[in-house]
Amino acid sequence: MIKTLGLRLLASLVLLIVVPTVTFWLQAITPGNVAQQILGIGASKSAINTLNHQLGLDQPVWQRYLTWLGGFFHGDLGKSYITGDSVTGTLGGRLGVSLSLIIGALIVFTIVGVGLGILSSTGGRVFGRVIDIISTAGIAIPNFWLGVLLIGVFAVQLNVLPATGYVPPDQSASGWIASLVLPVIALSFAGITGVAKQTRDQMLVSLASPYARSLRANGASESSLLFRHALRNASGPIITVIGLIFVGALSGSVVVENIFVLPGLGSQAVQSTTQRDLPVIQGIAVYFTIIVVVVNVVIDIVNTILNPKARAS
Amino acid sequence: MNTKRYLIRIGAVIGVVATSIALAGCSSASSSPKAPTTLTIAAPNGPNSLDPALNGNGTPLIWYTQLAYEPLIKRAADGSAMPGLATSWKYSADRLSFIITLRKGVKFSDGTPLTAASVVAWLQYYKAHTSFQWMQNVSGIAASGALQVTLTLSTPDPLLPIAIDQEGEAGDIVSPDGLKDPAVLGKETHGAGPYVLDTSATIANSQYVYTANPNYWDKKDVHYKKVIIKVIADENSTLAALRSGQVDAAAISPKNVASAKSAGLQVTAAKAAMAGIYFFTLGDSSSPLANLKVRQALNMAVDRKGITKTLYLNNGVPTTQYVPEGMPGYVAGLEKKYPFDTAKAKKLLADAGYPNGFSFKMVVQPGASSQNLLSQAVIQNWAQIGVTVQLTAPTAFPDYVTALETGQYAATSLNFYYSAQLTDLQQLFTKPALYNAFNFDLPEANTLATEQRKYDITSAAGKKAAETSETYMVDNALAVPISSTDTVMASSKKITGVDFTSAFPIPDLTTFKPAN
Amino acid sequence: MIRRFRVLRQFLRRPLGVVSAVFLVIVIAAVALAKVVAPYNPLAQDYSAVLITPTGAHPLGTDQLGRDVLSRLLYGGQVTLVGILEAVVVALVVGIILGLLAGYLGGVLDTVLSRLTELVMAIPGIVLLLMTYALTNNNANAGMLVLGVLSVPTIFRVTRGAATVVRGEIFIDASRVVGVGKIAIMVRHVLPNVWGPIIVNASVLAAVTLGIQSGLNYLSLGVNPPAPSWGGMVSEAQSSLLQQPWIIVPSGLTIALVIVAFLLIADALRDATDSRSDTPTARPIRAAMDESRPVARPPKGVILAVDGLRVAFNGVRVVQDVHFAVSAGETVGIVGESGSGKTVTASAILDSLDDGAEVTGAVWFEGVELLRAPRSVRRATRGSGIAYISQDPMVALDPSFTVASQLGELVTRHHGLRGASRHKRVLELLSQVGLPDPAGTARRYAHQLSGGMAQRVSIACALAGNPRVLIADEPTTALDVTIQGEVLDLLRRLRDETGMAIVIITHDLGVIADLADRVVVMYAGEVVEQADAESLFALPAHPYTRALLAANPIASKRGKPLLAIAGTVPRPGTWPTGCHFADRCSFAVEACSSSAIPLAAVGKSAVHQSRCIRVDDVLSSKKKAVV
Repeated sequence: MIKTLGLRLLASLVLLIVVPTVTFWLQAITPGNVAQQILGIGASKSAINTLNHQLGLDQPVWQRYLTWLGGFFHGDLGKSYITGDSVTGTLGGRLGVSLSLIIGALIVFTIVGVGLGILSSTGGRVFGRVIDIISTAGIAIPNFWLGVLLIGVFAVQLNVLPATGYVPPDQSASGWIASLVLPVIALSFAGITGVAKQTRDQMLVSLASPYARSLRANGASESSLLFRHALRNASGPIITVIGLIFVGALSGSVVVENIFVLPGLGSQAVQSTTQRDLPVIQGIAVYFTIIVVVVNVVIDIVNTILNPKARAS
Repeated sequence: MNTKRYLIRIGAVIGVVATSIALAGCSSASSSPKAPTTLTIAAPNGPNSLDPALNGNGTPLIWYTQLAYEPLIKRAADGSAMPGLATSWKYSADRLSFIITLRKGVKFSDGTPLTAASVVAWLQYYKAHTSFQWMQNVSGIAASGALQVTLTLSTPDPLLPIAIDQEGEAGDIVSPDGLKDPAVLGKETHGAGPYVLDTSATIANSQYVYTANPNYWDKKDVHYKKVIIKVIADENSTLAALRSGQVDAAAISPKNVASAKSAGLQVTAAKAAMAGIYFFTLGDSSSPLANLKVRQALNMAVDRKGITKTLYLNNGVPTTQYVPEGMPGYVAGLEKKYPFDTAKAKKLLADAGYPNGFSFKMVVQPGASSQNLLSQAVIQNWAQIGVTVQLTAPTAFPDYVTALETGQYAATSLNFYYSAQLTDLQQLFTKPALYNAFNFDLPEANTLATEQRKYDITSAAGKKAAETSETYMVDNALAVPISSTDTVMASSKKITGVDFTSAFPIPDLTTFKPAN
Repeated sequence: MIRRFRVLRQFLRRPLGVVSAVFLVIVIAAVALAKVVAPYNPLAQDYSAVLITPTGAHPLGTDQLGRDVLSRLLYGGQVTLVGILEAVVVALVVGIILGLLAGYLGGVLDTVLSRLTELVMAIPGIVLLLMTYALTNNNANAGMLVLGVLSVPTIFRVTRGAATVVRGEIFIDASRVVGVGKIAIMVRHVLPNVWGPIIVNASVLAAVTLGIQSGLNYLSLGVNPPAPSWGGMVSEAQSSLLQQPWIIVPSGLTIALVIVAFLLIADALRDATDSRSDTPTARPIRAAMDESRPVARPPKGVILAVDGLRVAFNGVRVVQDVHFAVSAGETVGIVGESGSGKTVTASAILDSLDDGAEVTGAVWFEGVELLRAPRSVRRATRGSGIAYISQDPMVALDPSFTVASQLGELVTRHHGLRGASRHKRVLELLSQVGLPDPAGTARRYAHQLSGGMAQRVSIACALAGNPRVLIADEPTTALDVTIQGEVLDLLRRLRDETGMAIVIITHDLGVIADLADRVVVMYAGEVVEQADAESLFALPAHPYTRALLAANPIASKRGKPLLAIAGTVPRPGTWPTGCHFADRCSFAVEACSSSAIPLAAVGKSAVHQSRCIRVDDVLSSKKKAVV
């Protein structure tokens, strides 16, 4: 188990370097004068040259890359071209917002998805069909459309929830939750389907398996079979799917943060991209990759705990 | 226990708990102290930069610098120029010097005093770093007394009092401390205005928090302990925020005016900007747009009334001119110049040598979404006379700049905030001019500009020169003005001071105060 | 070729898939022919009809410039659908090629490609997509290309997985031996066998791509106004939401419906291409009982009785006319080959028949008719009345829990013990089944036990409730020969110790001989003979029994060919009228096949029964029953 974790961490480190490298080189090879864009149309040549020099953009590409890489290993992700702030400073504050949104969505789609999956594995055909329909709707309704509809109904018409904006938890706990309700729903809706489907399939497999048959025949209660045995054995694949969906939610968060004006990594990503703020974009790529890596590690650990066979290997 | 029922019960409990938390949250959010100590404003976007030399003009960009930086001249809602950090100002007799007398006893937010030296330092920094043209005719900046600064001009320039008001931003004096390391000006404020940016509470492009400046020279004029500008890009969300009381005031789109009024909000509006189309290739003989008849045809083919009504509802007026009614330079007769007449336009086009029309590329300036719609509407009109336009709409400013660099685009959309007729002339049609990316040379435009510069804007001679310039610009169909559009502010009845007129159509946040 | 049409036919049987496919075809056609179909130019403005609700002239209303929404949807679909096509094609082409190479060739290439795929999957794709649009000045094709590349991993995995399976198949080896080149094999043999999962995933990929692409278009990436796009139309509608709530519906709904269509097609394709397509059924549901036949209570002393049991699935009978009784303390063996219906019979007794079973007849346990009893009664008998051990002990235990945990759970269930007293009982049970180290075994998981140990643990689980009847389904089949004997000894000992009855199901006559008091022989869904063990072995009264005994390898004579019964067991649904064994029977006459044969007493015996009209001939015959 230590070995697999070690390998996983090594692979993660590789990933952490590869991803920003790819983004760096993508930007580097494209024409476009960053300083000109920052300063605007009427900027003078000298002003452009000064800014280019200030930002270190007059150095050869390889040198710029190595400088960045060096800083990366020291935990320094550079400075924003636009604001001059350190990248870690700019993104640090936003990380919490994105995590609130994504983890909120994770909780919702896990609980609702697993719940629906269990319900549809034990209920009748009709109930199963209803769950199927809800699940399909979940993945089919585009999250941005859902977001707009939610704002239209709950914020504009009914006026019960804030339309946009984020309230930090230290400012007001209930305000924080209220500002997250609609975004979390919009983001988690699609994930519910994947989790529910996987849960149902795995539960059915478990419930039809020989050990379930034996246990039931020898007197084990239905609820024990369901929640103790079937769920436990189904949890491995379910958690794997949850991990996959979580990574997908990272992509979804970009759009959702834009709609609901949440000051997180996602909305910063769109902004920095349009501003060609390269250091910030790379910083976001690094942060996203870290999140993915952490989630994968957590899943591996949880899987190992839940699956005794994996422990031996 | 029956599994299904068990699960449904749990689900119900979770649902109830979550809903009650959320409702508690929202009820406390709406009743959370919007006490008169805090003013919350919504803006559709954040500033280009907090550095007054790099920011931009118009609503809402100007709000971010306006709160923290006191300008040399403050313009009142009726357009009159009032003393700010400057108590008096005048041109020399030969109009080649501009002398500014500073207010005594003013301190910056960091406690250092305002002196002539600090003003000079700022103005020099501004001139060196800005891409705006306000200081383009200033050849020398010097302190001519402990509290006096003299600007030497290479040619007369009557626009200086406008340059240094709260909209021009050239007069937003930044303290010497701030100038030591100008890079910080992008995220901190070092001004002498009524408020200071609270950097710890500010989240870039999400919310900007300002706290009262204890060193402000006119303490009784600071109406709030805190001012928050929330960035809400979506118009409907802005309205929702206004209606729920999350926000005290915001600029709203004309189509939301009816909803705002029915929600009990005050609505204030004034003519603020000219929306239209601008041509880059006026000097390119191979471009059809260099041909007068072609441009006149294009002007005639636009259904100004229809477009204005559809896009701006009751907050826009069709116009062929660059300045609004009431501003020096406006000539009523010019409105009749280009009546909507597709047939006539076609004929003009044929006379010009393009019976089958022609095509060109246009790029939309990112920012106001209405520019996009405006462009689409106009090119549909032009399609009717055989002119095909390929439209590109970059999502952000750097892409717009890049697009202009490519030289492929013959035209762009324009949303030009009103200041003075001369500003239009010398930012659009002279050589050089801010928008004149391809450097066309219109000798008459240059001459008229030189003439206008000789006179004060509001003087009789100045007015006459402005009218001459305006007539020249319209008669020669140099561009296609379409609508005179309003800035519309909706505000809660709890605040007053939301005043602005077309004489100075920029709402000044520092004048907002609690209503009682 | 034939297989392909089979898939098509299977697909056509699924109504949702068909409807979705038809819907998609209509949409694609309408979009492709937008020039012809659309009522208006998508850019034509009408200021007099801005943001109106649907009318005859504008079936989906108009937008904020008075442009017809329906026309814009049709034209906008072109950009949208072409984009999806680009992304999916790229993903398919690259994914299939790489997947085939990795799956078929294996080795280093496989490892490298698999690691690369993992890498790509872990990249936050959205950042790359945003950058692509920024750097290519909003070029839609570039964005879709990148999206296609980011989607390669899914297709790669599916292809590789399927190719790996196919690689191991015999016909591939055969082709290789014959000398067919690697690429030829991949294209001609591997590819046709993996395309099933690929098309399913391609359809899902189309759905996902549409979702992502319309989201990007919503953010104004990849679109150029005034050209419409579905995602872009949602964004435009959003700003007019207050003036005209309806405007938000057409664009978003179109996207959602097309996504649903792709997903439903994927579902239908999945069902059609997977022969083992049945998702595991939901837990057993009782089918309606046939109340017509009155059932008689068995006499006292009979602890378990099956009376007139008939089970059918989808109208096809799998067992019929099954009668037997088990007295307290008795061991009854049910013997028969696979397909004889013995497991179904056991399932009926255990109330564990699969979903959709149609059951008639009666199962009596201690005077209570179980098939008609309420759920609580049936639940109560499980484990404490009737218990069960299955064939494969390794999978009969829950792999996620220790022995102590599972066994303990049953102990708690039946006796309410907890904590230390529960653990004590667990250890008692484990030692009762002959495990030398009960404490050590209790701590272990199923995969840490040997086959024999696991079976003993299973038996302990069955004993936890002190059952009166133990149903043992092939308890020794999966075990080593040496262990088999031990387990049988154990069962005998337990029977003697506890006095419980055992119903042992097996195809092994040796087990019967070892353990059974009485034997029930089943063939093709029917009981063909019942007798006490001695009589059965000495005097088989049914041709099938005779043949079975003769075919027993133990009974064979050295030097002579092994006797086997010619022919095969008729499958359910193909049972002949009359005797099911007739076409393999050397005693068969015309009467055997003309009508159903009842189970009748042999001679004057109360316990020996045979379903044969030529019993007397059988008994007296010295002839070998086999052909």
